Amino acid sequence: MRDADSFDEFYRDTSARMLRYGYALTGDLAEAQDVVQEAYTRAWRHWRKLVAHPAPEGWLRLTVGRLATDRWRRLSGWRVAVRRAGPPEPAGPPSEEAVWLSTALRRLPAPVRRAVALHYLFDLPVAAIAAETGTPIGTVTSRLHRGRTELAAMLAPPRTPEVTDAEH
Amino acid sequence: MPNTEPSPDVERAFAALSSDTERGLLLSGPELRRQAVRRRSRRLAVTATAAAVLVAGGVGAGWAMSDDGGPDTGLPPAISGTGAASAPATTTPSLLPSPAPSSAPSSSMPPPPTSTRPTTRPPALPKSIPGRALLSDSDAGLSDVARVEDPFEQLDFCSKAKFPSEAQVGVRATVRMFYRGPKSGAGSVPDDTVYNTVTVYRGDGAVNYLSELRRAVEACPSGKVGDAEAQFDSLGSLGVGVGEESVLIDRSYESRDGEGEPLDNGSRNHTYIAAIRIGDAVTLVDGQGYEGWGAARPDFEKQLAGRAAARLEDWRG
Repeated sequence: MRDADSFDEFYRDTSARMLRYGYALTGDLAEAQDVVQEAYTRAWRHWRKLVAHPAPEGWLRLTVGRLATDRWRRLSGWRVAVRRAGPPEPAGPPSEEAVWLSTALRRLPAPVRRAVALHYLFDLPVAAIAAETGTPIGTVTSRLHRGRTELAAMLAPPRTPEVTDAEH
Repeated sequence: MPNTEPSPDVERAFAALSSDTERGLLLSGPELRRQAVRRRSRRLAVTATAAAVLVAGGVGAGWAMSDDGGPDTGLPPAISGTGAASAPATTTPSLLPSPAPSSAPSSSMPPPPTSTRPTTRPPALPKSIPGRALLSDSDAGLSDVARVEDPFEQLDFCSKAKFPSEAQVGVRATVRMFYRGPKSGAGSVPDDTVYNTVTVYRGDGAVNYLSELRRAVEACPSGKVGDAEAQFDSLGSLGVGVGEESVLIDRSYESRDGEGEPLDNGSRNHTYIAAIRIGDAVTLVDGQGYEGWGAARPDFEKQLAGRAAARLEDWRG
């Protein structure tokens, strides 16, 4: 039971932020639930190895990232099955601002989206993101800059036309 | 943010997303472990009876479909209290527009008369792909057929594979489904996950696409599909009478055990891709296997590719 207890504790401590990460990557909370559940299922299967891993949460993030990025090609069968027999849909409709960010994130290339999500949701420094994603530091810096710039532009409120423009 | 300027709008949006995540539901830890064991048991049982091998880069088994058809216990709300702070309740001006639909803009011209072949004189593009042109639940062995709304993703081969015919796509639709072969019961684990895409091209795009597929297999004896290393082999065509021309491709992966580790015995799992052209239209059948399992070529050819060709023939022939 020691394995089960340690796994349950890990799950309890990390699953909420992992779900946020899945939500940011997939743009859909129901899909995020499925991806995160699948990632933890795999974690439990490998728990004896994983518990000795220096960064088990990093392993989880990597798995969630892979499943989310390639979810239709690799999980299509599981996805349909889980819709039929798995967890219910998320409670209530999404907030307007969450939908807005999800839509904006979907417009970013997957590596950029992932870097931005790792920074904003886990507060990971550039070097840690680079190590976790196997990407050069310069590339991560560039992705973060691009992601922040593009998101800021997409999230900025539309400008009201100036009076001089309206008169023409 | 390191090496970048802070952005209050972005930070606020992520806080809102974090707050919104509290709507999500996850299994409790003990229930998740029980599900994992059930799935493993199911997979092992299937392994023993199906005489098949496993594949696909560590991808795990599917969600266990419990005997009573549903989850056993209630699902508590996602645990919160760690990670990013809850979102401040801020307002936003409006939603961004939805992503573009997956199908290309359609023509306003009426569909062509069915008595003429479009090869020499292409008809106008149809407004959309009708359901009857695609594989459906009424076809033998198929279930859970659903339209795919995401944009079409071209088949993965390798970087040498090019598909300039994409510029000639007129209208397109995709459905995905499960397939169970004649030896599998209705409630059994599926034998294949299948994507069927029907595309009507402008000009000679349909002819070009099949040529591009043949070239892709020649240029890419191996490549990556997701994270998995795949090998590609041409199996020629589907035979005389199946469309005006066709391509059949074998896509195989190194066999792996239930934990995703290579079996190292030289065995491979095979999945199949078929493209059938009738005039200016192509029906593409992409069998991706189920949860890392391979597929049976005779079933794929006859029940999937053959049926898809017949449906396209009925509509566009």
